[in-house]
Amino acid sequence: MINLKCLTIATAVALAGFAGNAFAQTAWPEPGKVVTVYNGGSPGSGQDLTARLVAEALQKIHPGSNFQVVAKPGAGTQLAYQTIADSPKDGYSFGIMSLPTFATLYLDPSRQAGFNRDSFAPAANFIFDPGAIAVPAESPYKTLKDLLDAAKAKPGEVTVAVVGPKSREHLDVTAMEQAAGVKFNPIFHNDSGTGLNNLLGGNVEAQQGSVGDFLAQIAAGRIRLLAVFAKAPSAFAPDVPTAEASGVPVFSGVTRGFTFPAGVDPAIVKQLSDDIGAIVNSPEQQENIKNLGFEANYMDMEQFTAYAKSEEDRIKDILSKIPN
Amino acid sequence: MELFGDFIAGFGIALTPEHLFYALVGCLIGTLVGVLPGIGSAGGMVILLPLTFQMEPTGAIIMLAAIFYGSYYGGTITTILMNVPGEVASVATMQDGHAMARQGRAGVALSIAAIGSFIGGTLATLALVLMAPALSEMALAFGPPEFFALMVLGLATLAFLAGSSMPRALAMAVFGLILGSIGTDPTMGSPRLTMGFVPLLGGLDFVPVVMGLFGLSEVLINAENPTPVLTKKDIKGLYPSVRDFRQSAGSIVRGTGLGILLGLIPGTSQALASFVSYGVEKAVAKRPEEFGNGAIQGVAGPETANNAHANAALIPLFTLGIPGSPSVAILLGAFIINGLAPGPLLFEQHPEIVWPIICSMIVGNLMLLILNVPLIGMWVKILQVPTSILSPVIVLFICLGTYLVNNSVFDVWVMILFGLLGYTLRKLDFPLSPIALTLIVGPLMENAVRQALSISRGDVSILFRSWLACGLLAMAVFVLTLPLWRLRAIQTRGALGRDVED
Amino acid sequence: MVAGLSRGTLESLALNVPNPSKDPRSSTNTAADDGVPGHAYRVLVLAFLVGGLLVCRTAIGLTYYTQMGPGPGFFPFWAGALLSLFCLMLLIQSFRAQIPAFDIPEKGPMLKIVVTIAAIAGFGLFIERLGFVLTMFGVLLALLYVHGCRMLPTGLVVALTGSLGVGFAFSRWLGVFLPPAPGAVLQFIGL
Repeated sequence: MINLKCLTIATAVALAGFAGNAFAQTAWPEPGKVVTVYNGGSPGSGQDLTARLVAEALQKIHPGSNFQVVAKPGAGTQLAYQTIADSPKDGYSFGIMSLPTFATLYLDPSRQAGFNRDSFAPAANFIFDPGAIAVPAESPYKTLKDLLDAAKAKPGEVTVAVVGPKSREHLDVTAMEQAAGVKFNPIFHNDSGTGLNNLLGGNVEAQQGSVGDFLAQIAAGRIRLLAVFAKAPSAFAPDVPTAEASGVPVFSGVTRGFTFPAGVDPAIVKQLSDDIGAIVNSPEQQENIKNLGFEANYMDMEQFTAYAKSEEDRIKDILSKIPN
Repeated sequence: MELFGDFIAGFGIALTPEHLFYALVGCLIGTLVGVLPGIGSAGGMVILLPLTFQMEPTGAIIMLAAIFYGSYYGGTITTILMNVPGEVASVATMQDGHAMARQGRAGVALSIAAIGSFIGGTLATLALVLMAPALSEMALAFGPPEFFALMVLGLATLAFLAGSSMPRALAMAVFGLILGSIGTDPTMGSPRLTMGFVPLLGGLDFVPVVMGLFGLSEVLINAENPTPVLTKKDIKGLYPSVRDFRQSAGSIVRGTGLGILLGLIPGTSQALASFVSYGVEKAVAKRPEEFGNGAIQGVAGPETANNAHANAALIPLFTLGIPGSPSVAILLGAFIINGLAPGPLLFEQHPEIVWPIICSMIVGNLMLLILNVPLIGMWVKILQVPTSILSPVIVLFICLGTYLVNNSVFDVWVMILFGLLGYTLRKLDFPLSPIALTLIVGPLMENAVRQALSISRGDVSILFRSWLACGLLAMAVFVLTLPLWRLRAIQTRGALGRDVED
Repeated sequence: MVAGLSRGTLESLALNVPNPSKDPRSSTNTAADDGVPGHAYRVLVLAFLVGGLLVCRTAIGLTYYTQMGPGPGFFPFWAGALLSLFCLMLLIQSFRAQIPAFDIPEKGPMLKIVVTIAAIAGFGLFIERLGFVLTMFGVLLALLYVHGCRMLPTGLVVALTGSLGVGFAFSRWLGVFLPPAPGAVLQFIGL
């Protein structure tokens, strides 16, 4: 026999659940409408792969949706950010925000960037790849301190491969120089692959990069990490000390998250933020993230926005101390 | 002989119907994509990357690799038939390939290109199998000074692209150097010659420039002076004769060696390999005056070098985990997404994936040959399509290809600009290929010398630090002066030669 | 050895080898020293010469040489200087020897050229505003007409395949992003 009271309660619960759902979930994205995900990387690059991974995952979360990844490489990811900043504020365009490079782009006046931090509404951070410094396996340097001592003894002579001028790697080396009072000789490359080639070939003594850059080579035993520039050792290289432990309190790495242009409905931004959180926590995606060589590092809207500000301050500081 | 056992076992897996199907699809799609001017191998792989996410790793990589070397052949088809480069690397084949087509020998050109590509690609893959560790050590021997010397050698082959006027060729070459320096300075990060355009901060992209200079200019020149549409009787045979084979044999051998050597060195590209091969062929040819008018060596050499480079560029990828060229970088991404870290450990940890992929490359190269040779008859029919339809279609694909590189309209403007420039230059008899060569080699050379000098803190002697570097530089000087040696030889032999050859 | 050669020898060297890579459709006329055909060559060379000098000047503004080797200004400076030098040589030579003439295209071909360029410019201007399919359709129709295709059905088929067909193939089957048409114009096919 159906108890009227039970029925009422059940209906009430159902209605509440339904209503609750309707409030908690905005109608974003509408099925069939295309959501464009911009990224500044060339095809096959880390940014591109990250964007595709997340786009796939988002499509699974929102069945019937259509997330299109559009690569807009050019001007060292600057073009992609410009595109995001200029895109319509209807919530159907967003893209990758990669710190600290993002900050460098608008803090460097010669780049004439048409945007700054206020042009964006960061949604969430997805992954983190801590900075790391590597030497060939047979190198005489066993710890970061060895390298710094050598740099102190021969100022401007110890060669460290970095990617491009004022790139993240270059700024990391500069930060190290400022923290330890030494001078390195940065050698610039077009990408980390050619840098790796020079490292393995013995043309440079060390290379600054991120853990993800070096994983394959570490596993093969051809290079060694001297230090990791994070607050805690990396899960991929547990016995490598942090730079802080070696006396150089520099914290840096690649964080990759997602951002809308400024002015988008905050409810939509929060929706994406929650979705990214869900992706980070799902076991199958954790496997995928590990394959890319990254650590998941979810930051929600507020945290990511604060992080963007703190990175901007950090980069501003380093840039101001570069002589030229 | 565990290695051998793995190799054979790899064939077993590569020859399963499923994997054969993937290779086939990859070859077909690669060829189709390559035929579209502007969308080269990198573009093709990017387009199809998402499809491969749904597939299991071995199959996905087999297909991507097939697209990779398939698209080079597709590019050749467009180049030979329509004088529009299918992609940057085909520019070297364009001179003689299209000349052959106009002589009715398009089928021969396409066949030789297919055969040469097959031989080059297979030998490069076998090199990977048999000598990978030794070869990758060789790759590591190329530090900045050696790379610089290699680039000087590459630039020296310019001597053979001169055409009818040396000063004009030199002017164009230097123009290419200037174009190559547009962008952000590699060491100081300051913008250089960008004239305030933000998209130029990354430098001029090859595709819009090459599509404009060679592709669009061809369409424009055609508008004035239409190439006569070949009728059926003009087509002199679809397949090479014994004489053709004999003439190309040397070029194929040289092209393979060159392609493999260059492919090993990260930072070089297929375009470089085919240009250098063209230069080499012209240098050693008994009748260099035939080049530009349908010399079969001018097709056989570059095409073989092209494909050999493409396959050999996978060696540093497999052994060191370092991609040798941008297209290979995409393959690297595919590996990573599938959880495979390419590098020395890959062979040990996942032999059941790596070997089938390598075997499939051999199978794929063969498949490409088998697929395309019968299709040559079909491709050649394209020559019979009236210009009124062909030209608009070519423009369609040039525009599409140019836009898709960076999803950028700016590239389309660059392409138009260079199209007009190319049109003017061609009408005034300025050679265009030096521009393409220096555009590629210039930045690489400058980068290398500045890196080298950074390491040595300004000491120029680092450029001569190894036998390899000095040897390459000496070869460059030799190559540059080669035309003078030949001139002397021709002049001394002059009277006699005429008697004998008449 | 190379330094000992005079320019004349270099020239005769190259000219001795009969025209290897001369584009058969480039001008076979030589300048009559009057009108545009005659002057076009010299104007172009002059333009490159000036360009080279401009590059030199810009390069001077950049750092020329640092203690660690050439700076940003080094290579562009020399490249610009060499370009101007070669152009000067060409210019001097043009008064002494025959130079190619620039035949101005006649009305028919000229129209083709102008419309082709305009069509591609239209592609650039409209592709992101009107989407790929619509823009390409228009561009193809214009090109087909001006290049001489007068068979309406064939032309339409080609134009439709080239715009709709290609758009479909790329964005639906291959998942490549092509700018969509504004509003709901082509929603019914999902473009």
